[in-house]
Amino acid sequence: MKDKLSKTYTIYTPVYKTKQEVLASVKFAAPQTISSPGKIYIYGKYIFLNELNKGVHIIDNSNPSSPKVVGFVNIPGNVDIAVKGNMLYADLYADLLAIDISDPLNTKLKKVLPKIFPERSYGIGYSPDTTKIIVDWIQKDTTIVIGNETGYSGCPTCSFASPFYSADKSSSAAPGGIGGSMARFTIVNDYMYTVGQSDLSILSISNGADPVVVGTQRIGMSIETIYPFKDKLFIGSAAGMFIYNISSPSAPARESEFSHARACDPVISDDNYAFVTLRTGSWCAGTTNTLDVIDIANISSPRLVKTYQLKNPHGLSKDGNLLFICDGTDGLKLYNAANVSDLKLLDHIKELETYDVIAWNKLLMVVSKTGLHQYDYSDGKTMRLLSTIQINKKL
Amino acid sequence: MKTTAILLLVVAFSSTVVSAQDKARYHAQNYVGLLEGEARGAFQLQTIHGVQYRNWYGAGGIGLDYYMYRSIPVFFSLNRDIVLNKRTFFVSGDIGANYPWVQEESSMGWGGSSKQDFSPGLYWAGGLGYKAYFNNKSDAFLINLGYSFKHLKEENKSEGFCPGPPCTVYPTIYDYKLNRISLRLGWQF
Repeated sequence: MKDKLSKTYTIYTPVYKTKQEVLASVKFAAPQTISSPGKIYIYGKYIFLNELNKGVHIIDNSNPSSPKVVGFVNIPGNVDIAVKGNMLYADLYADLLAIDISDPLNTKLKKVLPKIFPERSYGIGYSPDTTKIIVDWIQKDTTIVIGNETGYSGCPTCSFASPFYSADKSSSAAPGGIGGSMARFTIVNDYMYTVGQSDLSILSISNGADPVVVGTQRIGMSIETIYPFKDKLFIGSAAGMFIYNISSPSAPARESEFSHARACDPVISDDNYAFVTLRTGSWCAGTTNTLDVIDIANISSPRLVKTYQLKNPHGLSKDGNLLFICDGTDGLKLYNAANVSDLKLLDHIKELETYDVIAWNKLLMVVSKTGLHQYDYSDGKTMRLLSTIQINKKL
Repeated sequence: MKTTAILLLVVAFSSTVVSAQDKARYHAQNYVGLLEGEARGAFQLQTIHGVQYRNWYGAGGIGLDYYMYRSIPVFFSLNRDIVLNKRTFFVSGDIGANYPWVQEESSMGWGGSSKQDFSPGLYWAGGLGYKAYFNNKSDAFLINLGYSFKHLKEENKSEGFCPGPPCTVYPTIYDYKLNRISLRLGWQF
């Protein structure tokens, strides 16, 4: 008596271009439909929105009630972005690009730094043509009858197709650009800091068009996010939060760390407290879904003040006493954080699955599964929707 | 095998045999048993509660089915007694839904993670049995041999290394249609 077992999956066939062809295509192009929004970065009147593994949308946000997607910079493998002055820094798989955006509608590639993010290569049993770059994947669904397999035994077609890193939105207070709390790039003055899975890279960008690697430090495993505040870097890892002193900016020094249960953990801070969201998920192990408030008044000895239960918190942002938390499928939450031991929920938008948020100048930018949303929180109590750029909406 | 089981059910339910009880009466049937199929043999447990009226027994049942993936069949059961030479045989048919024991599982390995979502499917079974009544004419030892089918679906969503959302998800759907021979031993009271 035979069982009938079948498996339906997608075969991904890579589409290659030569590196020369790809680099030649890194320039301003016509607007494209937003389908998989990743990290955001605010620069002047523009929003730079990562399209996961494809490039960067340029959005004219002169009127937040009516933002306009004005262009797209094609960058295969891109997931992280940062901006300083007139330069956009973006990853192209393992490489770092410096792109002149002094005229955002006429971008120019200035420099390519190869192999800055070695873990962004392909792997796990798949060896692509190393002389070329994968710019797209052709997808084809297929169903096959399988033998008597019991349970999932790995997806033979998908691991190589997956981007090793995914999207962020950074939260730098650096002049020129503002990002979200899930960033892996950040800029402080003339230095750019990037985190890989285990390393912190330091790049001098005193000449913006010519970034130079000045150092790399091995800082731990499963590093996830980086957030700057004054002369400190707050680095989130799956096992804890690390605080680095960058008073000597080319040689960050670890000052302390705060360990927590294994989970993904974006972090932000102010002068006195660090706010760390811990979440579970298919990638993030553990069982913790909380907000930890950590007293960092004594930076060498961070102390947990209070833990708040949440559903599946992701990115967060703070403006004065207002704390905004993306709680995954439980939407977007606004808290009064005047008393960190007793956060008060002021507003809750439930209908979004939210990833990250930037609160800036009474304007809230939120990336969700369905698009990029902007809210006005000028009354300090509520979030009033100004606009939404829906994904998969024809431009 | 399926055809044989269906034929047995048809023959049994269309036959006119001796009536057993004129009054409807509550009975419970509790089974332990084995399931044997292409995958490794497995254990099953069932408890069925319903009413016997004449030669018919209609009941609701719930069980534990350890074949390939542990699941919980919830079903309606109909039995027809056939008395031959003072011995009571019965034909049984069950139909219902098969619920996975584990609805969701996550795992993380080198270079990626995966999440499995299981969803319920059809459950049905048919068999031929023998009832050995005890002196009180109510309690009985039961033995039943037949066919059992259960269906499960598993959606596996895998991601590569992805510490920050949105993560690209690669779904794979597994469809399990499991055919087994079922042997059950039970007690009716």
